[in-house]
Amino acid sequence: MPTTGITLVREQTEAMRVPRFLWVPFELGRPFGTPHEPEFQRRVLHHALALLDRSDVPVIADFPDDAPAATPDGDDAVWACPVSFVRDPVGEPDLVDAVRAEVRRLTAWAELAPPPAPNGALGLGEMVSLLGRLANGEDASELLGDRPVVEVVRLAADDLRTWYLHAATRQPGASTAAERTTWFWRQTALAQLLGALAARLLDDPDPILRMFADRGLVPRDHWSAVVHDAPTGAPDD
Amino acid sequence: MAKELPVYDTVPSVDGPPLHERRVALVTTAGLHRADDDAFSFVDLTYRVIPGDTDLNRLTMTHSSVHFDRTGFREDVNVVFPLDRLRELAADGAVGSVADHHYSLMGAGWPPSMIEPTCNELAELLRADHIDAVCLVPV
Repeated sequence: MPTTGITLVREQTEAMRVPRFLWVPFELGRPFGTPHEPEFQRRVLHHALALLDRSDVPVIADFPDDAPAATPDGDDAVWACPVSFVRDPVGEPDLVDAVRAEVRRLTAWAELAPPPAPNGALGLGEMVSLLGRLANGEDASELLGDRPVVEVVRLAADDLRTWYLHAATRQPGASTAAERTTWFWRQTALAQLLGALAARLLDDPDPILRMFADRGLVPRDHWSAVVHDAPTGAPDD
Repeated sequence: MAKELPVYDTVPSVDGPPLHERRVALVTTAGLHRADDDAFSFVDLTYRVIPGDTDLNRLTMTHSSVHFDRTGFREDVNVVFPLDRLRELAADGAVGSVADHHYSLMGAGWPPSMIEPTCNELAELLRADHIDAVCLVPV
């Protein structure tokens, strides 16, 4: 089967010795560059497909251009979320209340454009309750239903994080996905709550939940900023 | 992202007709699926089918990785899964035609050997659809 493809991580693609791939200098999560830039996206796809005519394999070609800025601004200043969360996120006794306050303050922004439909079955308030109860070691069975705990928690954490980041895209000023991600993990109470949940689940008897806590809740780059009471020995990379 | 990668000694490759004669399918590892399909689970080696006539607004993402944000996809599916762009290239005559079915996997954390049986099954399905070009798309 003749193949070509896109790669965002050159090292792994080189190791796989695939015949034809196009490396693109874009952010993870955006392999075709920028939303609502159809001409640019088409050029990326055509570059990748044109490699099918190459027989001098393996070939990893470089896409020559950066992704267009999502918001035409020209301002190189580092973006800061205009909504300020005034609290000390570490050691705050009422983390769940702090998350509820964040949600209230971000709702106006999130609703400027249709917010993303959740993948899980819970509403915003229920998601916060679920994550808070589990982080505090409390019973959350009525929110979990009959589904596997890891799936309910994973979708809730993913839906809430995406809702926050969606709200941030609606605010004034140009920001990159990387800037919004850094804001999320370094400045929000929800990130602290996810860190507390990860620390709690790393001790869970269920090995799937322990693996999820280790890999599926907090990115490595931000682990030390939000996971404060992890059991010794995890994670190590 | 550092992980122990397998070592491959060969570069399997086959040629085909010119691009403007090829029938092209997309295979994504972005954990995409139609909203009423089963979500991908945290550990999932299965695939989902994305019919060629799917309304992209019906697609959702349940990838398990926490290392990228979903807002680009939520704004414009084509920034992850460029089926509209492929349709346009076919309409322009740059590619021959678009597959009847495309496929989605959830590419997180598995060594290649574990996903190989799923990929072999996909290869047979793509052959049955007379595909002679597959574009592999990450997230």
